[in-house]
Amino acid sequence: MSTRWLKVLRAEYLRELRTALRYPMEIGTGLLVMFLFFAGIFFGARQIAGGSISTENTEMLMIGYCMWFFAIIALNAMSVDVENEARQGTLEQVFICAPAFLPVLWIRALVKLTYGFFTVLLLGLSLQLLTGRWLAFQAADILPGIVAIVLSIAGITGLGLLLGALSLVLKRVGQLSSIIQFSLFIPAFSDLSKLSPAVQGWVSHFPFTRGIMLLRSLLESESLPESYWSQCGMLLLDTLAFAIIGSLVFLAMERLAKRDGSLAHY
Amino acid sequence: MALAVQIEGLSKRYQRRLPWDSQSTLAVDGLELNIPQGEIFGLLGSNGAGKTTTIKMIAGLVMPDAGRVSFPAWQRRPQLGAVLEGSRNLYWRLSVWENIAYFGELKGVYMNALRPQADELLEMFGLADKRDRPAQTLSRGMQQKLAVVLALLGEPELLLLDEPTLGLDVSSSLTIQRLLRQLVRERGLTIIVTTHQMEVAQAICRRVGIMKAGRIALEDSIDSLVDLFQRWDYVLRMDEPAYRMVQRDLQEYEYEELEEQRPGQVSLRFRMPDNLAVYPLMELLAAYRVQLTQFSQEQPTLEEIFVKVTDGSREAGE
Repeated sequence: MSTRWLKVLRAEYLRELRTALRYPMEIGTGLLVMFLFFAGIFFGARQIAGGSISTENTEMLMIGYCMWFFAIIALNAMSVDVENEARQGTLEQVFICAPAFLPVLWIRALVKLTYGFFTVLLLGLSLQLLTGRWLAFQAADILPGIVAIVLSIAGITGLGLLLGALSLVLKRVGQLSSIIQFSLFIPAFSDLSKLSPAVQGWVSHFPFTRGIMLLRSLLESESLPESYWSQCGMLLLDTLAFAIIGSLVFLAMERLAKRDGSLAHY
Repeated sequence: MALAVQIEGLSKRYQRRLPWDSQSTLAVDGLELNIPQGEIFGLLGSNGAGKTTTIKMIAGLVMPDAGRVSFPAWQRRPQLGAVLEGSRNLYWRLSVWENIAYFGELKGVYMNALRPQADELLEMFGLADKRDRPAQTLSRGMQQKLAVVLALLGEPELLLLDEPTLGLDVSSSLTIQRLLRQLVRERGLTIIVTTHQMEVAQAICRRVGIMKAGRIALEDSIDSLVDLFQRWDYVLRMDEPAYRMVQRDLQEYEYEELEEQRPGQVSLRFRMPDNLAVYPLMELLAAYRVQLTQFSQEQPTLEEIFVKVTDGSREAGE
């Protein structure tokens, strides 16, 4: 990475941190909302299940919820960011100042996901305290787990970039983003292994579905499943496909917005 | 002097792309314009004349349908600074210094070079004691000044300002005008300003281009425009009794009585066919021994020129 981009990376880390520190209440309440939402799901599910949920199901619920939260951060990092920048009037300024906008957006996603990772850790810890169940990963599972998380979230970021691209031209994509956020609920909380292999094959290409399945397989089995790394390879291909498609569509939409003169519209 | 910006046959039509709405608007229509280096050039025009589209095409934010923008003085795309959305160009949640640090690094300025540059600019724009204040707590004028400071980071070669003094109070507007003149004088910067505030353009620009319906209707130095639109109007003020005395003899002149604030005084504006016609008038007044308390020739203001041009009463080349 050239020093120019390292400067951009530093600038984005500091901007994100400074903004967050100026409004800590916003982050705190955001986290609290996610915590209460989980509490509602957890206690609701327990009530329906007759007063208790199995340890396995609780762990699945927590893993799914944390991944879903992380996915929302990734999705918003790309789509909401572009929409907000246009609304506050800084989008064109960033276009003029930066050597190129797309890499800036990827850097921003990296920054938001770094901070988001710590938020997810905090959320995960508070969920474990709430449920009284502790996620027991083996030391050997940490690296494979991280690989699955990183690849899944990178795939979602590519999807977020597609939304960001649309927001350059269509401007308001908040509702579409909400639909995608809630549709991510399905892979996050359902048992996809019960689907027919053909459907499973299709669904698993959707960003983060395969990642969730891999994380669950880590929790369920004593040792690393035999097909784990080959599945990771498939996940990598899916992620690259989403990242590349997202980037290409973004460049096309950027061109279209410049042609329509609508870059700064909101 | 080298050309900073050369615009050849630039056109832009905005087209709505909805199936039920395919209206289009011609914003810029075969624009030809040469902007010299090292001065402030004013792009004037009414709302919808195509000023902002033109400046955004220069900045590369809007793609032209036809024509090209080149920068002969640099033989490459110059380092740009721009204020296109006024005070909205800032991150309102960040402080003055945090905005500077962010945009400075985004432009690739090293932090050790950025600090002295920022200190100088903050001092120059009177924001030195506001560096830790969040941008949203600054007054509109200060936010506007900060937007200009941010545009100046990284020492741009070409500064694009879209309505830089719009909505500012007189004092803030005058300060920004003074600072822009100072930047051109001391740093040799080229500035392109769009505005429909004629007094601002007259105060800071050496040359202006008046846009009408996407084209340049008239382009010249302000001095040449004033000469071009010169009229021989003279304002004379005298005591009321003296005026009554010569009133009958003045009837052969084309003149009007102006509203006069001073009691016992009368102000008259004479419209002469040329400057030689003023001598017989002076001789007449001298014959009556009329004491003049004011005698001045009125120059056309840029605003008057602008109205004439945009009303179509006098087109370029006429």
